[in-house]
Amino acid sequence: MPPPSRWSLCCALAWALAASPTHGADYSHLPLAELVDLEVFSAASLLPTAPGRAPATVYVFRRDDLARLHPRTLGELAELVPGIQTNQYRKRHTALWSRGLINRYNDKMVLLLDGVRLADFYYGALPSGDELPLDQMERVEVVLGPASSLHGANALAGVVSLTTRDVHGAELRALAGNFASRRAALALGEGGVQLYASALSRDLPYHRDRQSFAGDRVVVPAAEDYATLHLKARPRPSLRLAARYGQWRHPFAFIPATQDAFVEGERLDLSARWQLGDALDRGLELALDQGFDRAREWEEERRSGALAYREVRRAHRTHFAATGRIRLGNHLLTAGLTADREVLDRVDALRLFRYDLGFLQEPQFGDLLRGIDREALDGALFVQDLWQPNPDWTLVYGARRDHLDRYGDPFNHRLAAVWTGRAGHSLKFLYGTALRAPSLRERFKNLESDFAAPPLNPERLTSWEVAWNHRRGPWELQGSAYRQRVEDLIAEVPTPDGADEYFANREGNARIRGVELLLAHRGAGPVGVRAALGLLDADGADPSPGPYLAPWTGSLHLDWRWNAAVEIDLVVRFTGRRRDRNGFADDDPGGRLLFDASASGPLGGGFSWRLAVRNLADARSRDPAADFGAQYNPEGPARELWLEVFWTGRP
Amino acid sequence: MRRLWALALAALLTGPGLERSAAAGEVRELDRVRAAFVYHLAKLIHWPAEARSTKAFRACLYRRDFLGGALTELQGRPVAGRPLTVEVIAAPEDAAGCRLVLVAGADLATWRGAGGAGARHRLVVADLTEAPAGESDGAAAVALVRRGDRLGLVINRRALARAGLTASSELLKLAHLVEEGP
Repeated sequence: MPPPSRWSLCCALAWALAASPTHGADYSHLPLAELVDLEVFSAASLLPTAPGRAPATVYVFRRDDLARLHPRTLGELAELVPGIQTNQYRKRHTALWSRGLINRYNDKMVLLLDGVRLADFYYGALPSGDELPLDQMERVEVVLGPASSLHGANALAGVVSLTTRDVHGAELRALAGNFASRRAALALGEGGVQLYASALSRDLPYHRDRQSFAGDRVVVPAAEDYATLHLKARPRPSLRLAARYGQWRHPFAFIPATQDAFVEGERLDLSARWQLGDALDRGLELALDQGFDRAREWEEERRSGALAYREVRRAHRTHFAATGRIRLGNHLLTAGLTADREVLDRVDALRLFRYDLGFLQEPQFGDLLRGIDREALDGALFVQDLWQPNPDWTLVYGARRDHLDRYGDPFNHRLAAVWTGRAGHSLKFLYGTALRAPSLRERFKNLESDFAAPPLNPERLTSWEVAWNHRRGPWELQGSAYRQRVEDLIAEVPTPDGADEYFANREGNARIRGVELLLAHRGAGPVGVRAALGLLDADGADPSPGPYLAPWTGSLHLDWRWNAAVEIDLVVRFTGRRRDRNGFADDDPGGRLLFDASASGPLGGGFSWRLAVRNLADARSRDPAADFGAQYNPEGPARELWLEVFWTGRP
Repeated sequence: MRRLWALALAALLTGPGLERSAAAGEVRELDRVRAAFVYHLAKLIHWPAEARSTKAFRACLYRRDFLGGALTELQGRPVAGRPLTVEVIAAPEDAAGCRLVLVAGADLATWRGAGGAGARHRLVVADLTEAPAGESDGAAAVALVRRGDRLGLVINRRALARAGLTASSELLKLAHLVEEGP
């Protein structure tokens, strides 16, 4: 809890702003490449700000970057961000470990799709796989570091913001590849209406002889399916409406041979954004979102095919936000409030069989959660002042008070000072705090044990960072060094009787230090390069996250425009040696070195093609099972090869 | 929660003060961004030698200064070694010396109807950022459009060629390219 004097200071600051002199920014000094990056119609950015000058560390991937790097999922793209390590989880998804914050369910960052927050209500997980096709995206921004002063709980390790594309006319994609991959995507745009639809069907892209989390061979059926339908409309320039529906079905990738396990889910998000007034100087944006989330997991005993386990989760959520901005001289003041209502419709499970016990004498049926109110109403107030005392300096102070029904009234704030030199340099000094409320599963899991889990505190993070950006012509350099302290890190722990796992705060504070570097060259010539490196050191806390983390990770991308008809792209992804604590000798996670390649070009008549291969050498790599230390390390994807044909035209 | 309400109260009290102190006639930030786009366009389009013989680079706004003075703030900045000058013209026939004409989306039909399209060595830029969908129907060689939460450029290569102009590789790389019109 902050002392009252902090609030007095905040209010006094707001009053002081009213007397400040007028000063306008000069955007003509920015290169055109940065001008097209300015986010000028969104309340989220608060001021037209290029990533190099933003009061945070931001990595941006534009549409042409996405085309050249050819990641198909957010998990694949995250491997190209210095400071993010990825981890194959035993179910199916890739977990994103931002700046050393290990996790199993992608619950330490916030994901926004056109400003709509997407997260599984039970695990708190953001989607990182084929549920979010990247060919729909105009732009992906990855903000690393604490962001709770703007985005509230769970923006502990950063924010991933995706902006979908608008097309004029029609675009069609068709893809075929190994693992029986078949994919089609359609995008249509005319007037103020946009439609996007995609469907993917394939087998899991892993080696067939992989080990399950229990160490035996996996024999689960491999087919998986994903579908997306997204409709956007802008009936008036100030009003944006969207409806997005997604569904998926896949097996668990690393389940023991005794059973087959599957998950299927669907999600519907309806959103409306209404912008009043001017986008930058004086305006108000109202946001209303309604989300419906449904998932079903089930297991079948392998020999008999009989139902072994079934879990049903359903919830709906309403989100409202009002964000107002006013420019006052050289200050831009932003204030807003949010209100969220979440209702759990159904969260129950039926267990008939366990891989270690066989069929149970008595079926176990009950709620997955216990001791929880079915409805929660959260709210928040936030303010931010962005002050440009002169053209070279930008100072930002932001503060946010949340009211979380289940976790009290946390306070977070951030302070940033950004110096921008005329020669394309910028230097940032950043400080911020953040919080992650435990997911419903972590806090309220109904244990299959008589053990009573101790109370769980939210995770808290404090971060200090210095960052440097330099842009000159086609060259871009970006570097940052940070130090963060994490209190009450949450870890999964086996119950004393071994019957289940519960969640507990780790003892002591984790200290994580790191350096991130990015070098990119985007010239008009035939060769482009992008190199990223992340260094990391973690200690403290018990058990420490340190052993699971790689001390260094990186990527190198070369694109070569061979001639007018063919462009060749090569990507190298590397990870330093990692250890783990599972005690098994035959599943060393080690380091990894993976190569990707693609060739692409136009065909004429609006057609183009891309032939791509991921994990070219078909290297076998494992990621540490960073949980409570008694599971085999899951294996990464095998070599994937695909051919994609793309057509664009006017209807 | 008490502090939360105190903050809300402070915001309410502060709001009217902020409203009063925002001076009328102040140049909007969005217009400054639009003006910066126009300035870069002027620098990244290649004009033939005969069009570069004038002492100043003349940029014209059709019918009204819909950028609220933001482009005028850039007067005197160099464009290919010549200072930028800005003025408002009432009709296409006034555009004789204009190397660049900026037309608001709402005025595009009027501009086209008055015979404003098609002049050699003159870049016509349509500002479609207020339109629900940004398309210029070939009336302008370049359109300034909304692209999600950002501004972007659409270059009509056919219209640009008709005007006898070429775009730099940097501009072509960052713009969306179309070919429309005769």
